[in-house]
Amino acid sequence: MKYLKNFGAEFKKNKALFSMLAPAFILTLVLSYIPMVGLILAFKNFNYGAGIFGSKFNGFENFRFLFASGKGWQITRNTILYNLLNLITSQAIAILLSIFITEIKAKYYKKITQSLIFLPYFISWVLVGIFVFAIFNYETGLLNNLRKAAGAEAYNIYDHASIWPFLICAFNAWKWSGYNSVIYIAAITGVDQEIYEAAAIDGANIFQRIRHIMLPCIRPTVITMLLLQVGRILRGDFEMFYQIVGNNGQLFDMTDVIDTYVFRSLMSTNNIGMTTAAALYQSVVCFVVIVLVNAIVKKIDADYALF
Amino acid sequence: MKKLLALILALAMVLSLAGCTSNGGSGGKTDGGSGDAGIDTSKEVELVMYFISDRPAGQDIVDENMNKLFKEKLNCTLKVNWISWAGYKDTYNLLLTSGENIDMIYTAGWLGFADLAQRGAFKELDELWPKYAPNNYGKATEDAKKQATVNGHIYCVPTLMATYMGYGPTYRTDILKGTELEGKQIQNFEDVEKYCEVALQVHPEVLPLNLGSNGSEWDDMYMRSLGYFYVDRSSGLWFDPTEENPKIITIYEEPTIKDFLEMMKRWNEKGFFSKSVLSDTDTQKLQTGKAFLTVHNIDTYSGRQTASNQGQDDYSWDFYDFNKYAAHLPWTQDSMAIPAASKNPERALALWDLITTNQEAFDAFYYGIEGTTYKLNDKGEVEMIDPETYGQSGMWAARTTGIYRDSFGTPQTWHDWHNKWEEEIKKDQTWEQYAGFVINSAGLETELSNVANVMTQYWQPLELALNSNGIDGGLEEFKTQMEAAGIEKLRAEYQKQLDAYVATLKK
Repeated sequence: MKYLKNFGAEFKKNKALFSMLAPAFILTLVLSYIPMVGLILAFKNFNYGAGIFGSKFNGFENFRFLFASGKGWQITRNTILYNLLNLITSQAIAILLSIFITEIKAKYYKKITQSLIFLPYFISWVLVGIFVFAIFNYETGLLNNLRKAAGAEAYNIYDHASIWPFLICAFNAWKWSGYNSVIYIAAITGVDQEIYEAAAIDGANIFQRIRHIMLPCIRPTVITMLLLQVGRILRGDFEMFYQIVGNNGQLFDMTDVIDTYVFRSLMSTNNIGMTTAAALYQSVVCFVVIVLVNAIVKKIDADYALF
Repeated sequence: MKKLLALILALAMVLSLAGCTSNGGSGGKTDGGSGDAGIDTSKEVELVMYFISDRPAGQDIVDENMNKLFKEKLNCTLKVNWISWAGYKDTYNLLLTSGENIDMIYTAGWLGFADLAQRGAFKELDELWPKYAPNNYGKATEDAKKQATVNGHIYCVPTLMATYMGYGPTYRTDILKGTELEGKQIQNFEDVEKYCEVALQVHPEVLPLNLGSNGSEWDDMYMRSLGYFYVDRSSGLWFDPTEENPKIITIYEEPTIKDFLEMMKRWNEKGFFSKSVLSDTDTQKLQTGKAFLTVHNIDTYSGRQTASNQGQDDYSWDFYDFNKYAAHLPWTQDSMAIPAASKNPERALALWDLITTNQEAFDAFYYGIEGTTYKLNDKGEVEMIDPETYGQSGMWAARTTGIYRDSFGTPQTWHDWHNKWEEEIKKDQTWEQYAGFVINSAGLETELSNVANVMTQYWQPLELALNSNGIDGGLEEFKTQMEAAGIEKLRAEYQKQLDAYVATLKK
């Protein structure tokens, strides 16, 4: 009651601010919160006639397909490992790139380099999928043509599933590093130039300046970026996996993530309950992970926590 | 409150779909007449139809033309809506979920007809169909009615066009000129192997078999050539219809399956297809001359040959049916259903009756306006004047044998095979007697999805000899995975349904 009263007073005081907030608030409510009611379908046997609320509950039956055949654990593991690997590589490379780019002094060279590094972001995964096949296919691929020209035996990369995690990771880094580096470049340029100059006068060389000034200054950005990524730990980048791996069963043990598995399994049976169940499973695990990681960050340094 | 919440939910779902188009809705009157005898057409209604294909630019003039006719005959107009191929599955399900007023919608096995019917998406037509579409009902076969039945009720109006199970290689014959195979027909698997060898000699740069990331259909072809009839293709379950009480087997239980796998291994080693075939997404290889032979239905053959006859390329083709027996395809492979939310099911059926049994109405609905969108030759074959503006309708369920027109240049071989199959079915009912057998997979979704997944992950590489552990190891692994996925539960349930169907046959 006290809160409500306070809110009333607060509202009267800041009418303008609240009205500015209203559109965003309503949008989030309508597009993010209200649809959450639909999650109830994860526990229902959906009937078109009866609708979302009239359908009958069927307990955890919809979740069974994820775990019944023993694949649930494998795809969960794959998803988490891929996300960790991609998170570390693409962020680390992005930080490195941003440092390099800000240290480049020649203006045009800097702009051109940055644009080129950013370019892969605009190339869709569909095209990347075509590249991959054009490079690696056994008969006419670039790789095997080069090998043949060099007198080596043709190599069938599709027989070696264990190579694919690295390939996928490399493509992911190639696509995202340039994009992520922009955020770090912004953070670095936000650092007060006088600190660098003072350090330089005190005799700090470039590596010392990077190590002791630049990196500590962008630490909050790094942590925020990591936290945001960790919140998606159980969501595979469907488009990337689907376009690069596609329907090739030879590679599934190493490349199947939750999203691709669900897509493939439910393509023939359009069961809304089961897809909702899979999405709910991902969301709940992501939620738990981000709350945990955030708590850890908070414990170490409360300023860096997201909430 | 619930209703409001559901509305907002549906709205949010629609909004979150990228590239959504504003829906047509229905401006029609909601209270259609429902007279006791016959149909009351005193009130004008607008009926709404949805089907899947990309909307052509010329739809508007076609609409105008056909609605003049419909208005005069049945005092109704038809609003045709196209569900674009991009994201059709989401849109299709969403339309049914949202409870929008739709009077006719295309449906088929590949859109999950039986599942949708069980889930209450469609109106039950037990009495409506014979009453309001009597001509159509009279033409439908008993098998068709059986196939349209789910849990004892009819939920769709199947197509009236007979199609056949005929399946086999469609292959280029022009490349055989001057070789030992010139003028010879492919009639069995050995011939296919021979053909590919010759093709490789003539064109070593082309991988002769048309295969891609969707996997191969040669396993189906093999089982069918042995006379097996499928229970469910995507689960690899088959039975032998010559047995008195057929028992369902899985594909790995067929005694000669190893011979088949040996053959595929040989084909792989001889280079008939790519060793990275499962990552190849090119589906246009036949058209572009990057493959010479595919295994599919006869429509693939007639499509290619018709294109060649019309001068799109200078290839020539032939087809051979590898099936052991002849049978009709399920009539429900193209059907029209009336969504549960429809307010004018009687009027919709009356219009459907007209379109599917009246040549004039069908021409106006399907081909458009003679002289503007299509023209006819003296054989009554049709050619679309400008396929870019208006091809043909995407409501394939409206096609009726005798009313549906063949395209210009449809090859004689196509007609010959159709006549042959029709005669064979009259003589030999081995497969045809099972044409009415429809499986009900309610409650088996978990097993179905897991089994479908095992088929993709383990069977497809094994079938094309791309797996790493050889034929024996691969078969063993496949079997273990199928069992873990619940194939035995599927088999037991389907066997029960098959036994029940066999019992009705014996009556």
